[in-house]
Amino acid sequence: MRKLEMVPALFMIAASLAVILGTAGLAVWDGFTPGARFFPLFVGGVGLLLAALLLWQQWRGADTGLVDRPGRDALVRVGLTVVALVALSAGAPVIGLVPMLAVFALFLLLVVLRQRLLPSVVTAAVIAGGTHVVFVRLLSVPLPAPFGL
Amino acid sequence: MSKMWSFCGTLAFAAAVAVTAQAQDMRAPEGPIEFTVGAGAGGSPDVIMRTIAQIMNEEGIVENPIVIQNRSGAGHSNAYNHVLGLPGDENTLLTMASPVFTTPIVQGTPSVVDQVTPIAGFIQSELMLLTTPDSPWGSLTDMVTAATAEPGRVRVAGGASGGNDHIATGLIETAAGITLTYIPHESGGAARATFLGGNVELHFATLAEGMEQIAAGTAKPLAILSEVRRSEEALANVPTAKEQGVDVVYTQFWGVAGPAGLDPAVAAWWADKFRKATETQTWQDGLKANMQLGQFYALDEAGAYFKAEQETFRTVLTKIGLAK
Amino acid sequence: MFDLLFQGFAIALQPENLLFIFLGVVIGQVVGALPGLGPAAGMALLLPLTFGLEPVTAIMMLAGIMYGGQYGGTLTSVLINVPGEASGVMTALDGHAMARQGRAGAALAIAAIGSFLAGISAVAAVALIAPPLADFGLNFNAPEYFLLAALGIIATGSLGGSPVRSLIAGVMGLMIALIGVDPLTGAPRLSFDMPVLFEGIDFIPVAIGVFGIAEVLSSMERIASVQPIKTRLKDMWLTKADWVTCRLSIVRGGIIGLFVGIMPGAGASVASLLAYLSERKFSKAPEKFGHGAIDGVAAAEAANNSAAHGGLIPMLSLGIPGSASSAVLLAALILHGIRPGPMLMTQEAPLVWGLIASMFIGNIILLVLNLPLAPLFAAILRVPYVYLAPGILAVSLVGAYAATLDMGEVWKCILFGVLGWLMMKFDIPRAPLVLALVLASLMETSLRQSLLLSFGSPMIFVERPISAVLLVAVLIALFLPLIGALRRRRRA
Repeated sequence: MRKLEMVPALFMIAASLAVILGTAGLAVWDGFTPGARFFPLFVGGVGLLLAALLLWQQWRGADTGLVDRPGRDALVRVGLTVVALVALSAGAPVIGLVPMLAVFALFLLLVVLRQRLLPSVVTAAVIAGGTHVVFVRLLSVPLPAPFGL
Repeated sequence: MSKMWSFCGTLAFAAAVAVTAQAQDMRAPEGPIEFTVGAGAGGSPDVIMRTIAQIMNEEGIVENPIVIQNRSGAGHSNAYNHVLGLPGDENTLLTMASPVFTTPIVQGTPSVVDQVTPIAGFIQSELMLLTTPDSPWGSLTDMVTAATAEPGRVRVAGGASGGNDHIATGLIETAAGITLTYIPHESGGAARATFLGGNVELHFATLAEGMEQIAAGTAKPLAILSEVRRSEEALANVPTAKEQGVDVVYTQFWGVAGPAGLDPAVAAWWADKFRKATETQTWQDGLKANMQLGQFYALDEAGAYFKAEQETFRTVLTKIGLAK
Repeated sequence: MFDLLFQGFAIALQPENLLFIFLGVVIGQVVGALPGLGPAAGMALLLPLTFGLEPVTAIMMLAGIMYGGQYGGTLTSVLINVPGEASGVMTALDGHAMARQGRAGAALAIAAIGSFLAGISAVAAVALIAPPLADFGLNFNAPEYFLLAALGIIATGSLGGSPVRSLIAGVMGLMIALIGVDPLTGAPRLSFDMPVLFEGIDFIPVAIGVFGIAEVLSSMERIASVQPIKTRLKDMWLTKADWVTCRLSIVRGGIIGLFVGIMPGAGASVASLLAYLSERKFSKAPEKFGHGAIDGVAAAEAANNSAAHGGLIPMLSLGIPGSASSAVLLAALILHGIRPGPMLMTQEAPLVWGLIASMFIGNIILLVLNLPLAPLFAAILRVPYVYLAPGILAVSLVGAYAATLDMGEVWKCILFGVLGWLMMKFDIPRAPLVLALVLASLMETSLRQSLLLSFGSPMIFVERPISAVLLVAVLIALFLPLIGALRRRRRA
């Protein structure tokens, strides 16, 4: 449990180091003014400082933050939702955004959330149809639609 | 530098002759057309493309419905990468604005001009150099004298780093042998606010913008960066930079190109349509109102013109240390 | 002056113009309510529709989309916690908390009233004193913007329970903002040679991800037990106590918004942040801020609407657009053959005054539309959440795509959605991240511009009067909490 609590501070340390090291080679000072690396160094430095402060607070027990650890079922649902989002984005240029939205909504409702068939189909139709009407018809945004829909 | 500019001049003349003589196979594309613009709605290239598309559709020059798509961001690379990804596509044209040339130079990626099918260059906008109304300088020469005495103490407020204002500043620095302090801004509007607030000495403006400011008493012209003076009464007494011993001629320009491998017959058809649109009264009136130039370069001439401009950009960007 | 205004009303009240003002504000409301599509994107999408119209009609309609979008953005902020644009972040903070307490209707109503009152007052300022205000706005430049942005970023530390955790979130926002081309030298920074990262990371996918998608992911955990938010009719409306709490918040928010609006470089997001923070100082119950403080919603909404209208002051009197949406409005003027610039108000008096009059009318239409509809919109939350969730995800992603036509933005939304969810799990507040992201480039760019202006002398921050005052404010904001902490420590 304690290890999990340290994640934000460790993440901050990693990100700060990435910023500091990732900007190596850029100028810190450039003529009159701070250069391209000045602000990154500042931000990275403050990040390290804050991470250290947070670890110190946690060690002293003065930190008020609470880690919320979801149960296994909950994690599976969140994971499946992310997978569905990724599949939606990957499939949109190939199959078309509007049909993918219908599939996406059906997957979420039927597989992840285990809802009844009829309301799920209606919801999916409303989402896909609504998107088509508002974005394509009203705003004439060219959504990805290799097959014309 | 000056040699290259006279080359451009010759080219312009050649183009004007060539276009009228040209007769080529033409074929119209089918279906709706997209003009891809790398700037957001409201930027100069966006306004230009919307205007010409409107003329083409409303005056029956082009029957296909034309939509403007703003694929903005990343120094127009979202837009040109979109078009470069559609080789042979007959329904998409790319707007050629200076970032299409400068972004590949700055990012060290392959030049866009060498990959697309040039169609036309059809509008140019001259620039003028302004100073604050209470400035002691009466001419560009005074400014050069001051900047020579104190290098780096003269400040220019301009648009994005590596943009048109920055390039014009670089050209003036080289031609006059001086060093200026260039202060980049997120947008031309932000730069103008800095200038109008009296924070800097110099600012570049298009002729129409500059005229407004001179009339309102918020700016004083030092020079116009053109080959010859303008004929309008309000600008006739503004000397060119060349007259004042600073050999710089720099105009912004815009054009269109198709994707790689576009059927030459379709490209020729488009070049013809753009020429017809620019010959309309509406377009000519717009040019006059905005004090822009309408030299027309078609197909190969446009390609040569774009390439020559690209060389200018590369030279200046290398000089100011931005080229990769 | 009043003759001109009457003339303006005569133009705006012509039936055709009235119709297009109405259409404009309704479209604005709808577009603003789509996450990702703010007023500027909406105006750009609908610009071609105005080509057949008279210039004055077209400009009135587009302006209607602009401020109608401000009203519409409130809907998504309050109902599904997705701020459609930067100025909606503060509204989402307390407005969505109110929605969860079943008071979405009240939040929407106070937002509409606050926006209306502040909007009308800002329009009056445009009508009466635009030129002197515009000149005053020019006194703000890089040094002042730097200090304002610094003030905002320091203040993000106070948005949440633990200052250290809030500041960590703020630093994450700053780091995201560093990615992309360095605005001053054009050097690629932290882009690791990936073309997607050259352009940097825009506010929209981050806000949609960190707020909207993260919110849905988090409710997915216990979706079976998520009940539709109870919305009793009596909670839907403002109470007298609400109104008493909010009266002065609206006034203060409106004034702050107007002043920030006339600065050509700051914008509505800075306005709503400053208004929110100052309101917390004035409030009798500052501990409620972040947990559904209605005065926070009122101040933030009043400020962003008055900043949006105030942004027309530099645009009309100097030809300088103060925001993305006023830039589109300027372009529309040019497309309709009118040259914006310092002479616009004298040369095109009928157009300018017609526009001003139309904004009075449009704001009234919006108030009349939004007040009765607030409970109706709030009723969306009565739909069982399981059916709402896929819809929120879909509209968020499609909105992000539509704003740029780039699938890359959609991928960023998903990435930041996961990040936002992790932040919720590890108890790191999310608002500081988004606000710091908005303020970062203003802060960095204007620091460097300031020092270019002064040839490297830091005295520029002291020599300019407004800047000196702001510097004192920054120092107080920075050291007061530290001194307070030390004192408490000594006492303990």
